[in-house]
Amino acid sequence: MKIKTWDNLFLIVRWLIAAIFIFAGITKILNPENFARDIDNYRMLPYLLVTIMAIILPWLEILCGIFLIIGKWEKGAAFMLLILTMMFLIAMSSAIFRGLDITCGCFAMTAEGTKVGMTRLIQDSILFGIILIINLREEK
Amino acid sequence: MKKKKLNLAIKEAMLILVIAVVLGMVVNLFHPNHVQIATRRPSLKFAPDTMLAQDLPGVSFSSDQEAEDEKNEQITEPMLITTEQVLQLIAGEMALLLDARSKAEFEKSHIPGAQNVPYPNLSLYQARLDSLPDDQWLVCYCDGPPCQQAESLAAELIKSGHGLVAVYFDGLNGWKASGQEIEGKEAAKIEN
Repeated sequence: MKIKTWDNLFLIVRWLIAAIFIFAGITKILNPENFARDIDNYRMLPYLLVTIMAIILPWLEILCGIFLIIGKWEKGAAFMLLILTMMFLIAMSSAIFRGLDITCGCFAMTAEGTKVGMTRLIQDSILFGIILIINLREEK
Repeated sequence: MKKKKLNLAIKEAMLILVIAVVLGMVVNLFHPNHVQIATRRPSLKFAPDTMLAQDLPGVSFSSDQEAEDEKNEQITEPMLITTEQVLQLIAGEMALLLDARSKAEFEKSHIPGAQNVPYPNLSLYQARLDSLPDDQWLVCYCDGPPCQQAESLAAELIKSGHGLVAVYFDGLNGWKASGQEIEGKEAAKIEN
Protein backbone atom coordinates (compact mmCIF):
# COMPACT_ATOMS: atom_id res chain seq x y z
CA MET A 1 0.00 0.00 0.00
CA LYS A 2 2.81 2.33 0.96
CA ILE A 3 4.67 1.55 -2.26
CA LYS A 4 1.53 2.35 -4.24
CA THR A 5 1.20 5.74 -2.51
CA TRP A 6 4.79 6.59 -3.39
CA ASP A 7 4.22 5.45 -6.95
CA ASN A 8 1.17 7.69 -7.25
CA LEU A 9 3.03 10.64 -5.75
CA PHE A 10 5.89 10.06 -8.14
CA LEU A 11 3.46 9.94 -11.07
CA ILE A 12 1.89 13.25 -10.02
CA VAL A 13 5.32 14.89 -9.69
CA ARG A 14 6.26 13.56 -13.13
CA TRP A 15 3.08 15.01 -14.64
CA LEU A 16 3.67 18.34 -12.92
CA ILE A 17 7.19 18.58 -14.32
CA ALA A 18 5.85 17.59 -17.74
CA ALA A 19 3.15 20.29 -17.52
CA ILE A 20 5.73 22.95 -16.57
CA PHE A 21 7.86 22.12 -19.60
CA ILE A 22 4.88 21.92 -21.97
CA PHE A 23 3.70 25.35 -20.77
CA ALA A 24 7.23 26.80 -21.03
CA GLY A 25 7.58 25.39 -24.55
CA ILE A 26 4.23 26.78 -25.72
CA THR A 27 5.01 30.30 -24.46
CA LYS A 28 8.30 30.18 -26.36
CA ILE A 29 6.69 28.96 -29.58
CA LEU A 30 4.16 31.78 -29.38
CA ASN A 31 6.96 34.35 -29.02
CA PRO A 32 9.99 32.92 -30.82
CA GLU A 33 11.58 36.34 -31.34
CA ASN A 34 11.46 37.11 -27.62
CA PHE A 35 12.96 33.75 -26.87
CA ALA A 36 15.78 34.18 -29.42
CA ARG A 37 16.57 37.55 -27.84
CA ASP A 38 16.56 35.98 -24.38
CA ILE A 39 19.07 33.33 -25.47
CA ASP A 40 21.18 35.91 -27.28
CA ASN A 41 21.33 38.10 -24.20
CA TYR A 42 23.31 35.43 -22.38
CA ARG A 43 26.11 36.16 -24.86
CA MET A 44 27.28 32.56 -24.74
CA LEU A 45 26.55 31.28 -28.22
CA PRO A 46 27.28 32.40 -31.78
CA TYR A 47 24.17 33.95 -33.33
CA LEU A 48 23.61 31.00 -35.68
CA LEU A 49 23.26 28.66 -32.71
CA VAL A 50 21.02 31.18 -30.94
CA THR A 51 18.52 31.11 -33.80
CA ILE A 52 18.64 27.32 -34.14
CA MET A 53 18.14 26.86 -30.41
CA ALA A 54 15.24 29.31 -30.38
CA ILE A 55 13.52 27.17 -33.01
CA ILE A 56 14.23 23.71 -31.60
CA LEU A 57 14.36 24.08 -27.82
CA PRO A 58 10.64 24.89 -27.27
CA TRP A 59 9.65 21.76 -29.21
CA LEU A 60 12.12 19.68 -27.21
CA GLU A 61 10.46 20.88 -24.00
CA ILE A 62 6.96 20.17 -25.29
CA LEU A 63 7.83 16.73 -26.69
CA CYS A 64 9.65 15.69 -23.51
CA GLY A 65 6.64 16.81 -21.48
CA ILE A 66 4.21 14.90 -23.69
CA PHE A 67 6.32 11.73 -23.64
CA LEU A 68 6.61 11.93 -19.85
CA ILE A 69 2.84 12.15 -19.54
CA ILE A 70 1.94 9.40 -22.02
CA GLY A 71 4.70 7.15 -20.71
CA LYS A 72 6.38 6.46 -24.04
CA TRP A 73 10.12 7.04 -24.41
CA GLU A 74 9.95 8.38 -20.86
CA LYS A 75 13.57 7.42 -20.14
CA GLY A 76 14.75 9.48 -23.11
CA ALA A 77 12.42 12.36 -22.22
CA ALA A 78 13.62 12.45 -18.60
CA PHE A 79 17.24 12.22 -19.74
CA MET A 80 16.77 15.07 -22.23
CA LEU A 81 15.10 17.27 -19.59
CA LEU A 82 18.02 16.59 -17.25
CA ILE A 83 20.47 17.79 -19.91
CA LEU A 84 18.32 20.85 -20.68
CA THR A 85 17.99 21.85 -17.03
CA MET A 86 21.72 21.42 -16.55
CA MET A 87 22.31 23.71 -19.54
CA PHE A 88 19.93 26.31 -18.08
CA LEU A 89 21.74 26.16 -14.73
CA ILE A 90 25.16 26.65 -16.34
CA ALA A 91 23.89 29.55 -18.48
CA MET A 92 22.20 31.23 -15.54
CA SER A 93 25.19 30.82 -13.20
CA SER A 94 27.44 32.26 -15.88
CA ALA A 95 25.10 35.25 -16.36
CA ILE A 96 25.00 35.92 -12.61
CA PHE A 97 28.80 35.59 -12.41
CA ARG A 98 29.22 38.10 -15.27
CA GLY A 99 26.69 40.45 -13.67
CA LEU A 100 24.36 40.43 -16.68
CA ASP A 101 21.09 42.27 -16.19
CA ILE A 102 18.88 40.01 -18.30
CA THR A 103 15.68 38.00 -18.21
CA CYS A 104 16.07 34.24 -17.92
CA GLY A 105 13.99 33.17 -20.93
CA CYS A 106 12.39 30.44 -18.86
CA PHE A 107 8.92 31.46 -20.00
CA ALA A 108 9.01 33.72 -23.04
CA MET A 109 5.35 34.70 -22.69
CA THR A 110 6.07 38.36 -22.09
CA ALA A 111 8.94 40.56 -23.13
CA GLU A 112 9.80 41.34 -19.51
CA GLY A 113 10.14 37.71 -18.37
CA THR A 114 11.85 37.07 -15.07
CA LYS A 115 15.19 38.52 -14.23
CA VAL A 116 18.12 36.15 -13.86
CA GLY A 117 19.17 36.02 -10.22
CA MET A 118 19.63 33.82 -7.20
CA THR A 119 15.87 33.17 -6.81
CA ARG A 120 15.63 31.85 -10.35
CA LEU A 121 18.83 29.82 -9.86
CA ILE A 122 17.44 28.17 -6.71
CA GLN A 123 14.14 27.41 -8.48
CA ASP A 124 16.01 25.78 -11.36
CA SER A 125 18.24 23.83 -8.98
CA ILE A 126 15.13 22.38 -7.31
CA LEU A 127 13.73 21.51 -10.75
CA PHE A 128 17.04 19.86 -11.63
CA GLY A 129 16.92 17.82 -8.41
CA ILE A 130 13.38 16.58 -9.12
CA ILE A 131 14.28 15.65 -12.71
CA LEU A 132 17.36 13.82 -11.43
CA ILE A 133 15.12 11.79 -9.09
CA ILE A 134 12.79 11.01 -12.01
CA ASN A 135 15.82 9.82 -14.00
CA LEU A 136 17.07 7.63 -11.16
CA ARG A 137 13.63 6.06 -10.73
CA GLU A 138 13.39 5.44 -14.47
CA GLU A 139 16.65 3.50 -14.14
CA LYS A 140 14.99 0.98 -11.82
CA MET B 1 22.31 -3.60 -17.17
CA LYS B 2 22.52 0.02 -16.09
CA LYS B 3 24.63 0.84 -19.13
CA LYS B 4 22.01 -0.76 -21.35
CA LYS B 5 19.30 1.45 -19.82
CA LEU B 6 21.44 4.54 -20.24
CA ASN B 7 22.01 3.64 -23.89
CA LEU B 8 18.28 3.24 -24.34
CA ALA B 9 17.66 6.65 -22.70
CA ILE B 10 20.22 8.28 -25.00
CA LYS B 11 18.68 6.59 -28.04
CA GLU B 12 15.19 7.77 -27.09
CA ALA B 13 16.48 11.27 -26.35
CA MET B 14 18.09 11.41 -29.80
CA LEU B 15 14.80 10.38 -31.43
CA ILE B 16 12.98 13.12 -29.51
CA LEU B 17 15.65 15.59 -30.64
CA VAL B 18 15.17 14.61 -34.30
CA ILE B 19 11.39 15.07 -34.04
CA ALA B 20 11.91 18.45 -32.31
CA VAL B 21 14.27 19.59 -35.09
CA VAL B 22 11.78 18.64 -37.81
CA LEU B 23 8.77 20.13 -36.02
CA GLY B 24 10.66 23.28 -35.06
CA MET B 25 11.92 23.95 -38.58
CA VAL B 26 8.54 23.30 -40.24
CA VAL B 27 6.52 25.39 -37.76
CA ASN B 28 9.08 28.19 -37.91
CA LEU B 29 8.65 28.39 -41.69
CA PHE B 30 4.97 29.29 -41.30
CA HIS B 31 5.17 31.25 -38.02
CA PRO B 32 4.17 34.92 -38.38
CA ASN B 33 6.97 35.96 -35.97
CA HIS B 34 9.42 33.36 -37.19
CA VAL B 35 13.06 33.39 -36.21
CA GLN B 36 15.40 34.00 -39.13
CA ILE B 37 18.33 31.62 -39.15
CA ALA B 38 21.33 33.88 -39.54
CA THR B 39 25.00 33.95 -38.70
CA ARG B 40 25.06 37.66 -37.86
CA ARG B 41 23.04 39.53 -35.26
CA PRO B 42 20.57 42.04 -36.70
CA SER B 43 22.18 45.46 -36.42
CA LEU B 44 20.83 47.68 -33.67
CA LYS B 45 18.76 50.66 -34.72
CA PHE B 46 19.99 53.85 -33.12
CA ALA B 47 18.08 57.08 -33.38
CA PRO B 48 19.72 59.58 -35.75
CA ASP B 49 20.62 62.93 -34.14
CA THR B 50 18.26 64.69 -36.55
CA MET B 51 15.36 62.70 -35.20
CA LEU B 52 16.09 63.79 -31.65
CA ALA B 53 16.59 67.38 -32.77
CA GLN B 54 13.36 67.42 -34.79
CA ASP B 55 11.47 66.38 -31.72
CA LEU B 56 12.62 69.23 -29.55
CA PRO B 57 9.96 70.10 -27.01
CA GLY B 58 7.94 73.15 -27.83
CA VAL B 59 8.80 72.99 -31.52
CA SER B 60 6.36 70.49 -32.87
CA PHE B 61 4.38 69.56 -29.78
CA SER B 62 2.31 71.33 -27.12
CA SER B 63 1.20 73.87 -29.74
CA ASP B 64 -0.49 71.33 -31.98
CA GLN B 65 -2.26 68.48 -30.26
CA GLU B 66 -3.17 66.73 -33.51
CA ALA B 67 0.41 66.62 -34.73
CA GLU B 68 1.43 65.19 -31.38
CA ASP B 69 -1.21 62.48 -31.52
CA GLU B 70 -0.18 61.55 -35.03
CA LYS B 71 3.45 61.34 -34.03
CA ASN B 72 2.66 59.27 -30.95
CA GLU B 73 0.88 56.76 -33.12
CA GLN B 74 3.91 56.33 -35.33
CA ILE B 75 6.27 55.40 -32.49
CA THR B 76 5.78 51.72 -31.86
CA GLU B 77 9.11 50.78 -30.38
CA PRO B 78 11.65 52.61 -28.25
CA MET B 79 14.64 54.17 -29.96
CA LEU B 80 18.16 53.38 -28.87
CA ILE B 81 20.43 56.30 -28.10
CA THR B 82 24.14 56.63 -27.39
CA THR B 83 26.01 58.22 -24.48
CA GLU B 84 26.70 61.32 -26.62
CA GLN B 85 23.01 61.67 -27.43
CA VAL B 86 22.07 61.31 -23.76
CA LEU B 87 24.58 64.04 -22.88
CA GLN B 88 23.14 66.29 -25.61
CA LEU B 89 19.61 65.78 -24.36
CA ILE B 90 20.64 66.44 -20.75
CA ALA B 91 22.55 69.58 -21.78
CA GLY B 92 19.48 70.86 -23.58
CA GLU B 93 17.24 69.95 -20.61
CA MET B 94 15.27 67.78 -22.99
CA ALA B 95 15.44 64.50 -21.13
CA LEU B 96 14.22 62.86 -17.97
CA LEU B 97 16.31 59.79 -17.15
CA LEU B 98 14.45 56.78 -15.79
CA ASP B 99 16.43 54.07 -14.03
CA ALA B 100 14.63 50.75 -14.55
CA ARG B 101 16.69 48.79 -12.03
CA SER B 102 15.71 47.86 -8.49
CA LYS B 103 15.56 50.42 -5.68
CA ALA B 104 18.67 48.92 -4.02
CA GLU B 105 20.66 49.10 -7.25
CA PHE B 106 19.47 52.67 -7.83
CA GLU B 107 20.49 53.74 -4.34
CA LYS B 108 23.93 52.25 -4.91
CA SER B 109 24.59 54.23 -8.09
CA HIS B 110 22.65 56.04 -10.76
CA ILE B 111 22.99 58.75 -13.38
CA PRO B 112 22.64 62.19 -11.74
CA GLY B 113 19.09 63.49 -11.90
CA ALA B 114 17.58 60.12 -12.78
CA GLN B 115 14.32 58.87 -11.27
CA ASN B 116 13.91 55.28 -10.19
CA VAL B 117 11.11 53.27 -11.82
CA PRO B 118 11.99 49.60 -11.16
CA TYR B 119 10.56 47.75 -14.11
CA PRO B 120 9.12 44.60 -12.56
CA ASN B 121 7.20 46.61 -9.93
CA LEU B 122 5.64 49.31 -12.10
CA SER B 123 2.32 49.25 -10.26
CA LEU B 124 4.06 50.48 -7.09
CA TYR B 125 5.28 53.55 -8.96
CA GLN B 126 2.02 54.54 -10.63
CA ALA B 127 2.04 58.06 -9.16
CA ARG B 128 5.55 58.63 -10.51
CA LEU B 129 4.54 57.26 -13.90
CA ASP B 130 1.46 59.50 -14.02
CA SER B 131 3.58 62.56 -13.37
CA LEU B 132 6.03 61.94 -16.20
CA PRO B 133 6.26 64.87 -18.60
CA ASP B 134 5.07 64.63 -22.20
CA ASP B 135 7.35 67.37 -23.51
CA GLN B 136 10.65 65.72 -22.61
CA TRP B 137 12.41 62.60 -23.78
CA LEU B 138 11.96 59.78 -21.32
CA VAL B 139 15.31 58.04 -21.44
CA CYS B 140 15.20 54.60 -19.86
CA TYR B 141 18.33 52.83 -18.78
CA CYS B 142 19.62 50.03 -16.57
CA ASP B 143 23.02 48.34 -16.27
CA GLY B 144 23.37 47.40 -19.92
CA PRO B 145 24.28 46.33 -22.44
CA PRO B 146 22.31 44.13 -22.83
CA CYS B 147 19.52 45.45 -20.66
CA GLN B 148 15.95 44.33 -21.06
CA GLN B 149 14.56 46.15 -18.03
CA ALA B 150 14.99 49.50 -19.75
CA GLU B 151 13.59 48.23 -23.05
CA SER B 152 10.57 46.75 -21.28
CA LEU B 153 9.97 49.96 -19.32
CA ALA B 154 10.25 51.99 -22.54
CA ALA B 155 7.79 49.69 -24.32
CA GLU B 156 5.38 50.10 -21.41
CA LEU B 157 5.68 53.90 -21.55
CA ILE B 158 4.94 53.89 -25.28
CA LYS B 159 1.96 51.64 -24.65
CA SER B 160 0.65 54.10 -22.07
CA GLY B 161 0.78 56.92 -24.63
CA HIS B 162 4.17 58.59 -24.23
CA GLY B 163 5.61 59.69 -27.55
CA LEU B 164 9.17 60.62 -26.65
CA VAL B 165 10.70 57.45 -25.33
CA ALA B 166 14.28 56.29 -25.79
CA VAL B 167 16.53 53.59 -24.39
CA TYR B 168 20.06 54.47 -23.38
CA PHE B 169 21.65 51.38 -24.89
CA ASP B 170 25.00 51.40 -23.05
CA GLY B 171 23.27 51.93 -19.72
CA LEU B 172 24.98 52.73 -16.45
CA ASN B 173 28.00 50.56 -17.35
CA GLY B 174 28.54 52.61 -20.50
CA TRP B 175 27.98 55.84 -18.58
CA LYS B 176 30.66 54.92 -16.04
CA ALA B 177 33.03 53.66 -18.76
CA SER B 178 32.82 57.00 -20.54
CA GLY B 179 33.96 58.71 -17.36
CA GLN B 180 30.68 60.45 -16.48
CA GLU B 181 29.70 61.28 -12.92
CA ILE B 182 27.36 59.10 -10.91
CA GLU B 183 25.24 59.65 -7.81
CA GLY B 184 24.53 57.29 -4.94
CA LYS B 185 26.30 55.35 -2.20
CA GLU B 186 29.01 54.16 -4.58
CA ALA B 187 29.83 57.73 -5.56
CA ALA B 188 29.87 58.82 -1.91
CA LYS B 189 32.31 56.01 -1.12
CA ILE B 190 34.65 57.10 -3.93
CA GLU B 191 34.56 60.70 -2.69
CA ASN B 192 35.43 59.62 0.86
